[in-house]
Amino acid sequence: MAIPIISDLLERLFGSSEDPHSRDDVKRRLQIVLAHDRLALDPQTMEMMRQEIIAVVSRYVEVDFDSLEFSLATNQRVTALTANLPIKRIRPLGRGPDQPIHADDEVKRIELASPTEASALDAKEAEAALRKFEENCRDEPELIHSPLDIDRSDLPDLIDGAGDALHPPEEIEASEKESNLLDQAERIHSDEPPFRKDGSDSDALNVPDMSIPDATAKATSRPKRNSK
Amino acid sequence: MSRIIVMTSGKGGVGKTTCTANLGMALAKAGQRVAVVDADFGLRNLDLLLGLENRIVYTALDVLAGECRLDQALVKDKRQPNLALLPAAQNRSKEAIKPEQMKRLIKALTKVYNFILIDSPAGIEMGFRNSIAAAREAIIVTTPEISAVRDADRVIGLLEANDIKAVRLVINRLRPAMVAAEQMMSVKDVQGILSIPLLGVIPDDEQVIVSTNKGEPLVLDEHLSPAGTAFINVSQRLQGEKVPLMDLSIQKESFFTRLKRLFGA
Ligand SMILES: Nc1ncnc2c1ncn2[C@@H]1O[C@H](COP(=O)(O)OP(=O)(O)OP(=O)(O)O)[C@@H](O)[C@H]1O
Ligand SMILES: [Mg+2]
Repeated sequence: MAIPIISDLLERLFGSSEDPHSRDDVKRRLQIVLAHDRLALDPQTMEMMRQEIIAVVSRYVEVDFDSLEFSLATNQRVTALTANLPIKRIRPLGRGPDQPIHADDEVKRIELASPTEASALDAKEAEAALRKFEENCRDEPELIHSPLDIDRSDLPDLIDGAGDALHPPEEIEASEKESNLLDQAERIHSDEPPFRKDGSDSDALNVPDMSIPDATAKATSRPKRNSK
Repeated sequence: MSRIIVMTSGKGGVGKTTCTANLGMALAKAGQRVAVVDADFGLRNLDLLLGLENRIVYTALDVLAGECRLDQALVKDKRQPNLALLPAAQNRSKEAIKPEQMKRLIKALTKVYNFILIDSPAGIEMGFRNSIAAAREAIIVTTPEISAVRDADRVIGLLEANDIKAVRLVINRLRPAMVAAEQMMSVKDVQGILSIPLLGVIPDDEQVIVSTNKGEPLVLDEHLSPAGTAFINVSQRLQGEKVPLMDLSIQKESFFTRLKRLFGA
């Protein structure tokens, strides 16, 4: 009986001991949720992009599928796609990074899954599939070029439009050059929206007489938002 | 040229109507000719917050149906003759009116009033589209809560897509003590996330409820409550004055203040 009273007293004196700071939680969660909202990419498209990125990277290096991570976050004006693809080793491939792969070959060689299958794909299944793919690659290096079971019959433009598969869409800049490819993560940044590049400064709001002198964070520009 | 401003939020219940009533009244007090338009067809509330519910004869729908003239539908406030309310119909759905019709109503109001505040319904459907159809500026009302901020972000995108460029933020129901205890997003947090200019911050204030009970906007009080002061500040900024943000900061209690409070000193 006495102990709760004492601990209550102590808590009131020193403030709550655990201090959970839900403010940080809400900020973190909002950043992620808004990044997704603003991009307006549906989960299927997101998953497809994820698999394609992995497929491209897997041509050159062996990715550690257990610990790869994709995340979207938005900060002030920029939405960034961050891919963490820990690398196990470099693949001994004939094809070097500056030898383009013909986009048509790519599309033809990728086996398709039905849309229902694709949407039923949960994270675990995706990972299992990838691990299987990885094994296949080990046995038969040629399979590397027929990597993933993705149905892209609905979305021809996404791939065809990407053109040379070795040169990712302009908006996505891989910074792999600075790497020694061993045990390192790649960060891929993109302006959003993902397949369009326009200055996010252009939508700067300018309402001169409405400013509040004391407002510390005065934003003059902000990210494009989903307008659908 | 008249200012046509829509008050909108996406999420319901964050304080759009409270803001419209208080800003409308504050602007009228400052000598502006103000029309407040209730665009929440089916769930009208603005008349209640202004205490004008018993004086409604015609609504915007009657005007559109040609059953009365616009001036007959406008309810002029007796306390503040510069203020008039254009009521929404209560027994009709939000689909009862179209954006084009809304534009005609607002256009007509611009001949007489220099501030037109449109109280938007929650959501992003027809009622929302009607309320933004004629607007040239928008005030986004949000609370420092995750769902309200998310919805606000969505609405900002929609406004942008509809070519409403002057979009400013009012953060309502801020609780400084919670911010100090790191249990609520701060003004800076919310503004940083939404990245639009800040027009004002309204503290959470019991007096808001007292004022709605009476049908008298807070800004009419002789001794202004914190929220009342904040609304006056917002109205002044809307008119282009530079008014510093109210100091809503609460210092984190020190050990000794806690000690004193605990022992009743
Ligand atoms: N600053 C405040 N402090 C305390 N209570 C407030 C404050 N602002 C609004 N409220 C309360 O929140 C509730 C909702 O307010 P209001 O009706 O203005 O919101 P709304 O956005 O117009 O809602 P709706 O989306 O339903 O139209 C009311 O009960 C009101 O009294
Ligand atoms: Mg309302």
